[in-house]
Amino acid sequence: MPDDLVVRAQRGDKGAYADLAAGIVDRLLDVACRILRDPHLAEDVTQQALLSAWKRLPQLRDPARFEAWAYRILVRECYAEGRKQRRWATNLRLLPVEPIAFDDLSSVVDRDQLERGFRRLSVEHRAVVVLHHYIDLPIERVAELIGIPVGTANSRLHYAMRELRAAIDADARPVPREAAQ
Amino acid sequence: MSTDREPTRVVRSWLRSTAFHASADRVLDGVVEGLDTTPQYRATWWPVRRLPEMNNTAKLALGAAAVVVAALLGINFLLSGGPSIGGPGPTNEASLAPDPTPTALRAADPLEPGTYVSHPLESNPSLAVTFTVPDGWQAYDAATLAPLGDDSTQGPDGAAFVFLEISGIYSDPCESLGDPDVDGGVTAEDLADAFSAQSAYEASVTDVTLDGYSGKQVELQLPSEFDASCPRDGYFVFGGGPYAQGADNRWHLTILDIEGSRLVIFTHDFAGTPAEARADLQAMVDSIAIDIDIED
Repeated sequence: MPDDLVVRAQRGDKGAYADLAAGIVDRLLDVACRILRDPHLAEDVTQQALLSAWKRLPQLRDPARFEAWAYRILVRECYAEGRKQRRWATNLRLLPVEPIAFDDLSSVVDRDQLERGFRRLSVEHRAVVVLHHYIDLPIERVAELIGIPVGTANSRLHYAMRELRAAIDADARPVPREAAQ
Repeated sequence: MSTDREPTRVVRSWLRSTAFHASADRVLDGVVEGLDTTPQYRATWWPVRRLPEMNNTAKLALGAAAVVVAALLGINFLLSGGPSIGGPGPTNEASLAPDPTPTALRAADPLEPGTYVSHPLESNPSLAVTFTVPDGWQAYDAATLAPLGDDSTQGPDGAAFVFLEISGIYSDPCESLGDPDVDGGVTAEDLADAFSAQSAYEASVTDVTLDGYSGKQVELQLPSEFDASCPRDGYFVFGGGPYAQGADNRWHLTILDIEGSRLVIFTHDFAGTPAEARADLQAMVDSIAIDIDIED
């Protein structure tokens, strides 16, 4: 992100900010989709995050950190959305997502188990998984970006991966008759 | 089956192999449309890194901050000598009498010494504050003053004077990306109570009266080592306003209840701030006269 574009936007230049947003929106939306697992919610959250970043942009001390700062705001917006979703957890619906490749996933069952396992995680846990395993940030950078201690980030990642492994493993276990009914 | 797989590899593959039909163009359209109805916080008070080509005016515009600065409505309304509903007048005998022709405060470097008027409350633009500025100060905007010089608000010897409107505070000043999570209520006492109840920094509260208006004087002693815990976003005690300007920053808030509005007069300094600058801050506070426009 060109620093001068950020500084111009900090001074209220809407055109400059539109250019900034255009340069980052794909990446933010991509991450939001993977955290929230709902493209419509992800669009809303990304839009809200970019508007929140515009509002707070004059507070950004180092223009060079704009992108990392925007990610941080996005994750915060995802948290807020997650809190709203929890209120409606009883009505949770699984929106279909489309697989584009199978790679290491040998079955649709695996994918479905992972999807369900991931959705059972809190948004806070999902964010750590996505930032670390999707955009490949070292866990220290994840912690810094989210604003949590490294130990907490590690703990969330460990817990999330354990749950996801359990979700995958569930596919290998015989389904109890009662549960299948 | 999957029990034999290495979970990290499976999860990574799964994250990458899922497509979502989301539209970045739709998001971008919404953002561009929303810019017109989403006001930015006032330019940050903290003088962030400056571009070499910026002139002084631009630097000040960039560096200025305040939660709220109302539009300056002109200066003549105070000249009529009409009745003030603001109270009995200055209570501090050291106050400098308001100049009969106060000047609308605006960004200036340096600011000519004299008497200025500001309308600092967005929620009540009719509230006018007149005060006297000594020599040696600059104005970032219509509500923010700092000693002359670059980085003059920052520690270990900086100072500043700001009119603010505060609605809430952060329970954790290092987590300030969202809106403040502690409601500041509507009265001076409400806000003082909010400061007293937090544990992130030291706060002391006393009663205060300024120009006949009562309120609370809140003294905040900010921590010595916030930089380590707030590496990027700064130590924001409340939303949209100044943030800590260095270690051991001392904040002094005079919070007044004025005809249903709440005005915060904010000054800050450090142990190393020159005595002259501290005396200037006190003199500016003491010189304040508050008035409210009465429409015809």
